[in-house]
Amino acid sequence: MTPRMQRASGESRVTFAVRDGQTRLTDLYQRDPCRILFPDPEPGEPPQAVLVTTSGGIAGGDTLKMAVEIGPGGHAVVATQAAEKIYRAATDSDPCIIDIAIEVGEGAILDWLPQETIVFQGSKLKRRTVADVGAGGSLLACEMVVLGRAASGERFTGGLLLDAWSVKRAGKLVWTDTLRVEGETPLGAGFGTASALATVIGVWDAPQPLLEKARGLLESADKVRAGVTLVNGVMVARLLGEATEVRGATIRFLTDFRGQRLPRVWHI
Amino acid sequence: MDRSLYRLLAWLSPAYPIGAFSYSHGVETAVEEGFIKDRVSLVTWLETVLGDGTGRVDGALFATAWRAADARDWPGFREIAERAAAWRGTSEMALESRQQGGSFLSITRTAWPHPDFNEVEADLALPVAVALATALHGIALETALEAYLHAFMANLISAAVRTVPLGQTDGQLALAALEDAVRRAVQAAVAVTDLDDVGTATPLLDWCSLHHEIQYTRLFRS
Repeated sequence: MTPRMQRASGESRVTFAVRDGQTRLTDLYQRDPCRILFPDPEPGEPPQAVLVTTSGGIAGGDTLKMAVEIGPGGHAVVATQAAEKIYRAATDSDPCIIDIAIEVGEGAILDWLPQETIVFQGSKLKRRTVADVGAGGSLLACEMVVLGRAASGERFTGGLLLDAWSVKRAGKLVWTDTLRVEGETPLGAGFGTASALATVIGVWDAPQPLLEKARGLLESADKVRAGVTLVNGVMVARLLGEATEVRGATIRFLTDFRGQRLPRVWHI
Repeated sequence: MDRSLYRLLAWLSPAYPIGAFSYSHGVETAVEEGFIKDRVSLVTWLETVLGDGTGRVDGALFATAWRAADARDWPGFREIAERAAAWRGTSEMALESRQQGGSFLSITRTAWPHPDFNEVEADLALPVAVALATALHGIALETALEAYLHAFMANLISAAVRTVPLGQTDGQLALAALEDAVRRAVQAAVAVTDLDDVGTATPLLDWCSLHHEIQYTRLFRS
């Protein structure tokens, strides 16, 4: 019998709520390899949480659970310290499972800005993100996946990437999408020559002006294929291309769209 | 007397008045951008739309919705219907599915009534609407789904023939070339036990649809 590697089972939960007119941390739970840091925000900016995977990367069979909650009227920014690396998994190993639950209370604002996830050749990842936005709440969420270690020329021709997103408004499902790449990406309507895809999701009560703003910004994006739409009241923007270009274009887009620099971890 | 064939031919014919001819599902942009330029590239494009894109998701939604309707499991059916309505990549693809699904349901329940049509809301995505009608009228899942996916492909080929342009014979050669791919898509869809495992790998399709929204001249609504 081959010995089984011990697999990680991490969890983090962070809750912000308004106390004495300020958004404050009200609940925190973390179990390795999930940690949460709270860098001092720039003056006048909302509190920030930075999620860290202390193991440096995630392998087959690992399970991570993360929950972020912003209470009614609160405002916070959540990012990740570095790109999430998903390592090659043994052929017979289970995929690594990441479950992310985002709750935005009534009238609350959350910017969910994790850095890119890099799926190494042969890795297996099943990630599910469910965001529920209460009445009058706002969510801006970014998700970028890179197929293979593009910087060293690696391509993703074997493995599994299943990345599912669901958006609910006050408990009702309004938008869902699942990216599923198993082995070689398809020709035709697949990825073309692209190795990375970024998705930016926006939920607001009155999305039309913000859709127009996003459209204007994305029209000038070069070296990536970019576009934006509004489905069932949810703004969905996509940026598709070579990994470095997509990262650069996504940073420029988010910076201009939000009218402020991304959290410092993005620039280190 | 088995009325399945007659009804399938009627409901999935391009003459069924649900407005299918006005949608290209991104084909118009794919032609404009040079992804589709001849019969060979058309077949490659459609194979991925079918096997790795919308056909994959809608096939799975069709199969699960058909089984729920066949079992008269209405809470289960409504859950699938809600998911199908939300599972749309872009505004135009959502319109395409919702408008045709609504028209299909309204026409079918009038011309071929069944009391259980009253169990569901009038607002259904197209694959779920067709799954419901075929299940209620006792048409076998695999036959119904093959007819559905064939109609999906035939409609996009017709859009391509008008925009590339391609000859009518090339269009039918493309349809013939997709025979096995449709069969495989049916098999993949009926094998799905959990919709959580289903997804797409066709960002270029989504991009074409996003780009179509702002395309200067458009013949099609998607």
